[in-house]
Amino acid sequence: MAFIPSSGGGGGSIPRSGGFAGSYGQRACYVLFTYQSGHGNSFTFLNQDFGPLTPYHDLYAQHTYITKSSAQRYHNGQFMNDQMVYFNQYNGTTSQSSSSSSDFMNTFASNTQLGCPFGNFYSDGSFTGVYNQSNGIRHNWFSRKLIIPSDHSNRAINYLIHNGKLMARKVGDGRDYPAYPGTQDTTTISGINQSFMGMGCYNNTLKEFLLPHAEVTGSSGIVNVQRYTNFDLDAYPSPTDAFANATLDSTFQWTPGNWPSNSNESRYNAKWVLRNDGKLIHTVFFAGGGGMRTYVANRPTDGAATNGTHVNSISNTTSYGSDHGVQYGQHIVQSRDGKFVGIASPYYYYWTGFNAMFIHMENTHPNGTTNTYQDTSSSTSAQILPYRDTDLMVSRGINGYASSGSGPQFARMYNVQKNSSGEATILQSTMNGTKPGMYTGANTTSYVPMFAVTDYGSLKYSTNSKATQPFNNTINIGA
Amino acid sequence: MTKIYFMQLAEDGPIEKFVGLMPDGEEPEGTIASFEFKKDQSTLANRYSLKDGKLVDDYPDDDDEAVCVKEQEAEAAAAKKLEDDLKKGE
Repeated sequence: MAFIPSSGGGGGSIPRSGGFAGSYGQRACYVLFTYQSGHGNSFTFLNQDFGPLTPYHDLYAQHTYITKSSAQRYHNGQFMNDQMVYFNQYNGTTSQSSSSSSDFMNTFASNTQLGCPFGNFYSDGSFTGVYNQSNGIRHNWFSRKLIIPSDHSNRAINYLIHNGKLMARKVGDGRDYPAYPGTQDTTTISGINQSFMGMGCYNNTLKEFLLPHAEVTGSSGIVNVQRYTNFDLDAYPSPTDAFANATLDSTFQWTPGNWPSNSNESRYNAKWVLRNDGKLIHTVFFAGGGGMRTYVANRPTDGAATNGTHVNSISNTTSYGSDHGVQYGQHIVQSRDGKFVGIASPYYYYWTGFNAMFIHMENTHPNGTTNTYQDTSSSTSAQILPYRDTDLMVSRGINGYASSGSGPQFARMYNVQKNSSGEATILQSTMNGTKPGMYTGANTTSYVPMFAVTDYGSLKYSTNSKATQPFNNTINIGA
Repeated sequence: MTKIYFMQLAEDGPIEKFVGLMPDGEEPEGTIASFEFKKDQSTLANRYSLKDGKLVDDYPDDDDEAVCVKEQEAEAAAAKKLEDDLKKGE
C-alpha cells in the first residue's frame, strides 16, 4: 500500500519510476479533506508545493467523486464507502471543533508524524482507514504521542517509546503494528517508568540517545535521564542492536524550574529534543492554564544533576491532555530530514486553538529559545505541516464554503537557513492569506483540515515536481 | 513575566496576539505593543484587543469561559450567514 521505494531485495533503493497513481507523473504530498453534502466525505491530493493534483474539485456542484476506491464490499458488491473506512465515525468537517470531546477531523492534531489521524493516505493516491483492536479509530491519535524526535537517516522509520520499550515502525504504522522489517523492539528497559510516552530523543550527529528513565519524586517533573553514547540508528536501525552497540555513559537528574502542576500529560507525555550543541530542550504541555513550556540546559556529560531553565511559555486556557483519553495530548511533527521538530498542543479544550514550539537540532541560540506560534481560537484550529526537505509550516483550518474563497490558509513558514558551519537559524515568514492551490469545494460549511501524506518523509523534494526519488539512499523497506 | 503581545508581521497584515513568556526581554517578531498582566488579571488572549495603543478588555463582564463560548457562537453565526448568503445567490 505505501509508496516507499523498494529495496529491490539487495539493499539500497530504486527510485520509483511511476507517478501519482501511476498516471499523472507526480506524487501526492498533501491532502485536503472535506464533506460534500449529498455525497459524503471526499478529499483532494496536492503536490509538493500545494498545487492541485487530483481529483480536481473546481466546480463543486459537478463533482461526483463519491466512491473512493474500486475495492468492493464483501458480500454485497457495493463500492467502498465511508462506513468501511470508519470516516463516518468522526465528526465531519461541517462543524467547528469548539469545546466538545468528539473525534473531529479538523483539530490541532489533524496532521501528525503518522500523517492523518483518521486515515492513511499515501503518495500514490492509495489510502486505508485507521482501526485496530486496542484503540479503535483512535489508533493513530494514540500512537502519534509515542514518536520521539530523531534525525536518523531512514525516514521510512518512526521510533516510538511506550511500555518501556524502544520500537521501530514503518511510517504510518502505530505501536501495535509489526516491527519495521529487520528490526526488533527492545524488551522493557530495566527500571523504566512504563507510563512514559514518546519521552526520549536521538541526535544522529552526536550519536547520542537520551532516555528519561524514571521519576525521582513523582512531582515537579524531576526525572533521572539515561545518556547513551555511540548510539547509532543509522548503523543499527534495530533498537535492540542500537542498544547492544551503545554505552550507557551516565545517568543524570533533571530538575525543571517553575513547574506549575502535575498531571499524566505533564509527567508522562513531555517531548525532549537534543540539539547538536548539546542543548537539551524539554517541552511540556500543562493542560488547563499552565501553558506550554520549555525547560533548557546543556545536557551533562558527567552525570551531574542539572536544572532546566524555564525559557519559553505559550499560554493556554481550559484544555485537556492525555489524562482525558488515549486520543488527547501533545505530539511532534518533524521535517522530512528529521532535524526540525514542531511540538503542538491545543489552546482550548481537547482539540481547538493551537500552541506550538519549533526546535531545530542545528540551531545554536545560546538560551535555547524556540520559535513559537499561538492560535487562540476557541472554534477552529491549525496544523503543523512538513514542507520541502527541511522546513515546517502552520496551516489554519478556517471555514470554507464552496468557492467563497475561504478554507484552509497558511499562517507561517519556518525556513531553515544554514551558515558555512552548518549552524541553522530559522527564518519565520508570515503567510497570512495564502492558500493551497485549490480548495476542495464542499457545498456546505466545512472546516477543511490539511495533512501530509503518510509516507511524506520517505520521498525527496525536488525542483522537478515529477521527480519521485527517495529522500536518501537509506530509505529501504526491508526484504 | 507573562505578557500579551500584539504583532503585525506584514504592513497590511492582520494584528495577531500572543500570550506567553519570552526569554530575556525578547519579543515575538513584528511586535507593535506588549503589556504585562497585573496580578489576578485574566491572561485569556481572546478577550483583549489593542485600541489607540491601549489594552482593552472587550468582555469586562464575562468570565473566560463565557468569552470563549461567545466567540464560538460568533463563528457559528458567521458560518451560517455565509451559507445563507451563498444559497441565496445560487
